[in-house]
Amino acid sequence: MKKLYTSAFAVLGFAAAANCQSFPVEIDVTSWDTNDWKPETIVVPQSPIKSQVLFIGGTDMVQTVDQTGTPNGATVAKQWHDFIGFTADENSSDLGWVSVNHEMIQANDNIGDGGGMTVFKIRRNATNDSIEIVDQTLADNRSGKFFNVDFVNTVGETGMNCGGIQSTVDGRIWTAEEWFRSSNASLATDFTTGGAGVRDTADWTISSDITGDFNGSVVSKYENFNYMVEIDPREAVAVRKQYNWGRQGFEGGVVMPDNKTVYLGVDATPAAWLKFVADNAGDFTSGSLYFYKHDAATKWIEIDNSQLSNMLNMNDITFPGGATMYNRIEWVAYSQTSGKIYFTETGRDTPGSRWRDEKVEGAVHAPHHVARAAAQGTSADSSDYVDYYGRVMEFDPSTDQMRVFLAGGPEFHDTPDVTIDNYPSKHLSNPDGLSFFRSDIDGTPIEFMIVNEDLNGSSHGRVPMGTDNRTCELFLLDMNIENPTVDNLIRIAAVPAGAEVTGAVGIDDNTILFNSQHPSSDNQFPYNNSLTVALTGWKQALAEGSLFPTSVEEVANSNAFRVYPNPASREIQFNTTTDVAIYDATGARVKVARNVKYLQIEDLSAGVYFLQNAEGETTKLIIE
Amino acid sequence: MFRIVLTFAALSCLYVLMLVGFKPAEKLYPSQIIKQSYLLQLDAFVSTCQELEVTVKTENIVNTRASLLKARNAYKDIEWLFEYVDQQGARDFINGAPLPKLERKVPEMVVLDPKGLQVLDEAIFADEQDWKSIQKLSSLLNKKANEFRSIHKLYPLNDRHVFEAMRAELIRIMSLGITGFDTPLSGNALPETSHSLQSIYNAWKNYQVQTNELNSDLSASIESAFQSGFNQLENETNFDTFNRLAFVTNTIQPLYDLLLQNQFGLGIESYYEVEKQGNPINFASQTIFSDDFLNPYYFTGLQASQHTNELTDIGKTLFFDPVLSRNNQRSCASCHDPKKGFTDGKAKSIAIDFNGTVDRNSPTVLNAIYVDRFFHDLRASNLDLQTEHVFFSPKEFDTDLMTIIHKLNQSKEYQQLFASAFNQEASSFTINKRHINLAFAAYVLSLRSFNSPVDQYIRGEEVSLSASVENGFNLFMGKAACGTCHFAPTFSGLVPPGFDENETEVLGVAVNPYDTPSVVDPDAGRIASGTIKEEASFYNHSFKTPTVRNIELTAPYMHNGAYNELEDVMNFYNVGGGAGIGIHLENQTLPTDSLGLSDIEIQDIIAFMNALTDTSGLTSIPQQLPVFEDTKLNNRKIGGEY
Repeated sequence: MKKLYTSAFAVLGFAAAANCQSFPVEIDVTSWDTNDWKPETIVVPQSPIKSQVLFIGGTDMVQTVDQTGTPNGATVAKQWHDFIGFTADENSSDLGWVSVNHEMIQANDNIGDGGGMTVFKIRRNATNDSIEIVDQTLADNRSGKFFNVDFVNTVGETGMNCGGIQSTVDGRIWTAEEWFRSSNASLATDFTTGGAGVRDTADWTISSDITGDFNGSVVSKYENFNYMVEIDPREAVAVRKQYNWGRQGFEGGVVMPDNKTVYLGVDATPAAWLKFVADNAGDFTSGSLYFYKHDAATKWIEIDNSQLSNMLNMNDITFPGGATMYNRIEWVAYSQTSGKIYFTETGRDTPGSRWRDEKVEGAVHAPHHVARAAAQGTSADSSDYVDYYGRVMEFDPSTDQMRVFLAGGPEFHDTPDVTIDNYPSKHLSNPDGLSFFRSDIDGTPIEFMIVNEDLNGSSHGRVPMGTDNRTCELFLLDMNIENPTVDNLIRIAAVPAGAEVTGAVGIDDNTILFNSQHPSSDNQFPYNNSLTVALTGWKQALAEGSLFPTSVEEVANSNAFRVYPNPASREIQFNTTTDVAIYDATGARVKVARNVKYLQIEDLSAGVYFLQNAEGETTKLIIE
Repeated sequence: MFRIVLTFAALSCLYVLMLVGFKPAEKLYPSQIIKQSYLLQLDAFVSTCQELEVTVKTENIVNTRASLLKARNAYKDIEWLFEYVDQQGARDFINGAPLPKLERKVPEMVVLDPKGLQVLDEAIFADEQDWKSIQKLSSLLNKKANEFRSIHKLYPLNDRHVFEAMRAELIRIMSLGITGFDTPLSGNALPETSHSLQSIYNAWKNYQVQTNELNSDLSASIESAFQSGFNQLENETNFDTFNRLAFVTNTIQPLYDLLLQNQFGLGIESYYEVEKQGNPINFASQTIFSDDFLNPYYFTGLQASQHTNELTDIGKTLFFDPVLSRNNQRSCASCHDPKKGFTDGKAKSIAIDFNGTVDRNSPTVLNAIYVDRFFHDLRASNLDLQTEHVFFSPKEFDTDLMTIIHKLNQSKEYQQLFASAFNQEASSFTINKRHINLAFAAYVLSLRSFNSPVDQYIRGEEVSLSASVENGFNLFMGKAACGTCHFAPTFSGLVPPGFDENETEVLGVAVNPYDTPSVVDPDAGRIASGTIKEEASFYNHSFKTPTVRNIELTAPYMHNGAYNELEDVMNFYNVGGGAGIGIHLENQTLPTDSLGLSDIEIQDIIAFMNALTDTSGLTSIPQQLPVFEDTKLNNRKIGGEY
């Protein structure tokens, strides 16, 4: 069998049939001088943006504190990195502290049961623009690079640490406990099978300085989960569970510049949009809590948050009270450019049955869902209503108005005019993590929204068709663009196969950190673990203008086939959608892409290549 | 060349005109022609769904059954491309397994009821019909079929897609089609298989002229393999007696090979020139029943380039070294003995310190990497976590990874072995978690067993199978319905054709099947795995479907090792599992009716399973264990004390 196969290959290989859309397996490159850089040669310079792995889950050692029966020590960090919080260090030349969530519930004698967080301090090595982890000794005498945040000895275990809040004012950090728990049994699982979660499920006595009847109250263990929990990243300890913000499957939030107002998002269907206003700036132990009702005169309806029973049963107040319902609110962020708040509504295929009961109770659908459902010829609480792609919402705190800022999609079943010829090259589906990155171009400030995808699935055109694409993407959006569309997104990174990209945050004008969560175990180390990654070199990339594909648009009218290097991401672009094949220096075909306007070539090592398009035009390609 | 091209162009124009009835573009590529006819057939499928929605409203059972079969057959005309274009959409809404599942990627547990043709097949061919539910399902099917129509028209189909989709359909026909997997009650499997095979033949016809011009032998072989299949489907219409072994050997396997030759021969790019993502399938494999078929590196953290013999040997040494356990007496081989097919012959393995037993039966390590998740309850998502669970379990190694790392670093010999395998300087080398994980992966990955007599026969090698084995294969893949859960070619619950998901099943296994009355084994299985996202009631008593390869060596059977003999296991299935022995689990996934197998048929199935044994070259054990400075440890026994 093997013999026949080889001979068939040899005989047929070279002669590509005219009737297939095939590129030759080999091309003759002898007429090309590989040392001669002709004008038509495309040079793809090395990207000024450098990627550096900072923190590897399941591998790097974290310093731990006493847990019951287990003394201070070190153990491998938990995985499932999600939110990243950054707290700048104003008092030294170090950059500051990085706080990373672990979105899981797992027993661990050293780290403590449940989920958790790891914190570490970073500085920039100016000589090579790299990030270094700073050695620290904390007040509790732990020394090392990575530190486990102690929850067990302070506020009680946390679980499924998902999103969080990094204060816009001073970098205070809260971690959000997603995955709403409704029984002790759902926390503690059979320890003997090795899959334990939280082993201590005795009733919990709240010890808290929050105004209300919280301190001294006894709750079931599971009722001490699902809060926003403040931590001190400098000392790697938890500070308080924010009982007065309610018990919800929280994901994101934002502390406003007044250091009093906090907006909160809940990952559920339905989700209410919540606001807390502290009595005194910077003191979140006392203040008022509200839910949003877009069709009420006052918009914000207050909840008595001094009562523990109210805070434990928020949904019994918000939805019967007529709250506006959203479909899975994820991260929340504040833009300095617009002064507005943005949040991701990640979407859910068929939300209808999930918020039907609440509607009967008195809650109202957000207007954009009513409109979308009507356009689909149905109602928002019908099982026919679909919301595959999600969106970014914009909330204006000065007017209390909400609108869809950036719709995911494209929504193919709503856009019959889409054809193969105008098939969009960018898809935004199920946006999840959301933050801002601020830098400047030659002194002119620029702010980008960072959008992280977390795909709910691959069906219904959520990923570009025609490729085996299961990769979540990380996008930037220039906030100077009014009424942006998916086309305005700039793709900056794709995480390893199988992974969710999350936690992305700009920590200064040159650096973005992001997490790659739950990657496929078949990736090469360390990309088979959850990772915290730094992307540096943004100042130079912005100065070169290499992020903006406008250069392609300028010559889009040109009839000639044009290839443009895009140094920022090792991606080449074409002035027209086409098929291309790339050949190595010997003329052997190494890569084929069809129906593309962009092509990632970062997997090709530096060297001389040849690029052929569908019309058979060949160009030399140098990858530096 | 010129003449043939012309002829081809003329043929394709004719074809298009017949199908579409409008003037074709100047020059259409085969993939464009195929897409046009696909969309027309998709329209036809949508019409059958509309018709079904109307018919079910009449509540006329005869018309409804006919209408469903019409829709099913129409789906089989497009399945090969529909599922390639959107496997997830197809499984969720069109032709997924008739079992409830959990909503993906939501922060709570939401059970989704099954939808689509398979659940309709069950509902409509049941003795009594729940018309309201059937009407609802039909209406949703129609809606979704329309929705997918509007999305699929945008698919930028090219030649590579066509060849990959045709080859995936061959796998689907073999594992899900002829087995009756997706026609649980209608029994429409063989007519549907004709539709499936015809659909890829029609697609291939668009390449026949070029293929013939370039290599007429190849073209003739492809034609002949297709015709062999059509002949068989035409002449053997009885589901119970259809010769599946002949069908797989003479049609499926040859086509799988020849179409790959065809793809590469025509200069069409391979998966690997386009995609960067790993895939469970090795798209360059010519064979289905071989260890080349799946890509082992997809299933572990190891890269092919890292997989050296040196690293495999270290993994093997670790596997047989009791130093990993708390008491230095127990190794992986304690429960996974190569002589017993990497099991231990016990119902439940002995626990550490001889203190009772562990909770479940020891599964084989042969082909163990071909899983999406590990353990009977699927609690570990990769091999690294699997080993960690064993290290940590108080009944197994009763230790932890940090202790093991510390211990191994006390041996200079271990450090040298690892340093050498990772090309590093031994003097400054410290063994870490990754080194251990990769060594285990290298060894476990080397334990691939796909060279049994059955594999050799299907690959066309010179080996003969007894009539009993042949009949056993046909029963296993047909009447006995074994192959609808133990999917070929792994004969496990790794679901084809994606091979990226493991199934668990609720069988109703007894604590002790030799006792009456039967009492269900109290082990809750998947629901109690500790995966909080899976605490769904339908996972109660649900266990992973293991491979039946090497089953001859791995008695006793089931997650609790309660069945000593394969005859007993077969009898259990023959009476409808738990339901047949007085154990009534509401969520039993095994069909509760009798299979109607005779004693001889059962013996044939066992003969077939026993012909799936292959341990050649896989059972060697290390000759010695590395030396420790702590001389007490140097007396430890290879493979442990038990």
